[in-house]
Amino acid sequence: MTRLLVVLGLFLGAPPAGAAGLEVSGAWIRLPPPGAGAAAAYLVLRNPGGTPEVLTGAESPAFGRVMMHRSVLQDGVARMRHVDELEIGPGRAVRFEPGGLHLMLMAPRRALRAGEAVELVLLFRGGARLPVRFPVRRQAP
Amino acid sequence: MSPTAVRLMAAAFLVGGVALMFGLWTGQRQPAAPAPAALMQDRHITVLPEVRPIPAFALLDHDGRPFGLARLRGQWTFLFLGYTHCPDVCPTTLATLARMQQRLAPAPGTPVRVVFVSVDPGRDDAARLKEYVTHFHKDFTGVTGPGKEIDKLVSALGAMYVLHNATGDKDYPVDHTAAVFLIDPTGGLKALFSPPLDAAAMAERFGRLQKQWRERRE
Repeated sequence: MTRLLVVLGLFLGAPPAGAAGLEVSGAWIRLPPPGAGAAAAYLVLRNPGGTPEVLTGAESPAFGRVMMHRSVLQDGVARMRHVDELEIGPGRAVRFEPGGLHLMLMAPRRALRAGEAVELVLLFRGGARLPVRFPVRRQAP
Repeated sequence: MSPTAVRLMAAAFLVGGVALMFGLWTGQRQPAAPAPAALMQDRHITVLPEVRPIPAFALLDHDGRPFGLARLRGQWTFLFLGYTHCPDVCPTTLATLARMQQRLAPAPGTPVRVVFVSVDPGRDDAARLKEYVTHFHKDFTGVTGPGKEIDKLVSALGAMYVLHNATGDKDYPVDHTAAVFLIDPTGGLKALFSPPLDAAAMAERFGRLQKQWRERRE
């Protein structure tokens, strides 16, 4: 029974707190069409701690380049803005979501499959690294 | 024939004639002056007061077949402008359009099509477009062609795009109008759906326009 609870705890317990002390939820990558040069990753990052954390980027062995971007809608026109860094204040959360902030995944080294999970490492000011597994999905969760 | 019978027949002709004239009148009048209910406007949709005609343009679909005004006639078309290197807005929109299409009640008669027009012909050829659009739905059509032909269509829609390709980086972004355009079976612009797009709301509002169209033709 204890072992079962431990196993359950692994699944149901508090969201994993990474190197940067941040909580991650709702991570996913939209399955890109075959041959697409770019994909997007989404997640929610929450900072339960007392000091601000600054996300400076991400990297992954599955992609040649990962960039932080924000889609903005201006006078009905969709534009992409590069985001150099992103501060997550104490008790605050940032949402990467379709039509807004996203991690742009470029130069894929292999084709992705729906149902698999891809690891990205989020990079923070001060050198902290937070590995996050992103399930690959056709539609938003 | 008694005078009464003559008078009755005359009355019948008169009534019939008026009814016929009224029928012709309303029949002609209705398409030109839609009922106020046709002018939906809310967070999701803007129906134009009058259908805006689209001039001739010459593009190619993802199978290399000509795609011009003739391909828009006789069907409802949901048209979206974008590019295949687009990581966020274009896949999100096409996935939403795929969900919207699944929600449409099967209706006999006028087909409903989704067309993705790439404004980035420098990177998007037919083969790439086909792979891209059919990933979202097997019946989606990808379209592109020479810049000046794209521009004819884009300006007719009141849309715009900007290729940020001056720096030489092959991963350049493209700004583009984010709305989904609805072309009616006459081949004119009927309405716009504004982001953030909602598949259920789009299907519901389109269903109303489709119903109006059918009723006007019965």
